[in-house]
Amino acid sequence: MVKDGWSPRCEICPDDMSDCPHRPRLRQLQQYLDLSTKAAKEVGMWKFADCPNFADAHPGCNIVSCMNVDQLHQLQKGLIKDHTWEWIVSFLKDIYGQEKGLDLIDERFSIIPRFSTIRQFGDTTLPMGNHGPVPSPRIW
Amino acid sequence: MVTVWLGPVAPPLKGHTDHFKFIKSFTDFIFITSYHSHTKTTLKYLQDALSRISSNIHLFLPYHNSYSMTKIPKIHSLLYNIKCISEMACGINSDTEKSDAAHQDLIHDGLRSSNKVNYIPQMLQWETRLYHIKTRVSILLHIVKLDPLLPQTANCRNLLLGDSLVSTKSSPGLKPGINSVMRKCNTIATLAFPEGISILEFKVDALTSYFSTFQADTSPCLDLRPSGSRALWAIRQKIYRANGITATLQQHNDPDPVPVQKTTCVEKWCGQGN
Repeated sequence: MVKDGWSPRCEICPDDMSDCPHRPRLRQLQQYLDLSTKAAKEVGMWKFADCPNFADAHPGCNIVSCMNVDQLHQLQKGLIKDHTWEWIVSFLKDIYGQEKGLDLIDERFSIIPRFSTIRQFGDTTLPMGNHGPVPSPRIW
Repeated sequence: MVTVWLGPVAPPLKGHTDHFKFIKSFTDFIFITSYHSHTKTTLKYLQDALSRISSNIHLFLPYHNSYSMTKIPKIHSLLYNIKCISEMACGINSDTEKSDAAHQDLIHDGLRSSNKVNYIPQMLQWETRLYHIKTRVSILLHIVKLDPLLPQTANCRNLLLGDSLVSTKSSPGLKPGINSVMRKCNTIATLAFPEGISILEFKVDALTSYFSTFQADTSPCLDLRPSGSRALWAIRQKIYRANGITATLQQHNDPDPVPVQKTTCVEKWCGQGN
């Protein structure tokens, strides 16, 4: 469900996420018990004939309300690395030109003073594109 | 990255106040969500940051690939972040950063160092060697820092110098850690302790300090700021000076000068200019 772009908390369609005219309904698994396979797919739920429904075996348990937001993959790596940073770079390229925009950021990142809890970026900001998670929580 | 990106990004964005407001509110949101405890006031700060994000996000609309903010569930999930915090406490509880880092260090690097054939025993052996080397390095460092005037300390320093772990004028040292040792391909046979060091108390003390560093900061610069009095810092500086390790004072905007050990660190991500 989440992999396909559906929200785990509400029934908003992925195409309407930018401007939804009405407040989306929160998910309640008990509501989907009587839905057909096609109707359930329209709200982002999948029903399989050979797989029992979770709500059947656990009445009163709304499992979708237990899904917390992942700090690393949704906020830090997901939003900043994948989206926000690319927007900023392309915005600076629009203002200063293709080469000068990147040079400006590289220069600014390279003159950050050495400090015990701050990561050193060297003379380029490129390594941040391909690094994995790091033990120190304040690096990102 | 989030810690420092406002400073480098601010001067080029001069004159574009709303764009910068969006970046600042974004930074606010991430920092406040990573608080370890929340009150109504902090939740209100979160709500304010969220409203500023939603009012300025349209400025970056032309720079998105599909020219619309649809099909980004991560942005939509920001709406439920405050509710998640009020229901399930702070977001740090469900943070996957440490487990991901452990997966990167132990699984990925272990698989890369194997020959991909029957790799599980090789990875287990690699990790065992890794911890042996790490333990040895921490014990040697502990002995060197504990009392530099002991006769066996010179032997320990020579062993560390052999691993390029301590910086000298002739050879700039690497970060005290396992990577430099592994890069030099030292065999396990060379990991013996010098004679006279095999005292149980030394090892117990060193192991205790080693395990206490699990939650410590692993930054490349070693912060030598004393936790106690300034006299303690002076004593520690004397020990470092006796060991030949230069300690410098770096003056930042912080009024309290922060003594930082000057090391020439070669990080893992340096030189990956692709």
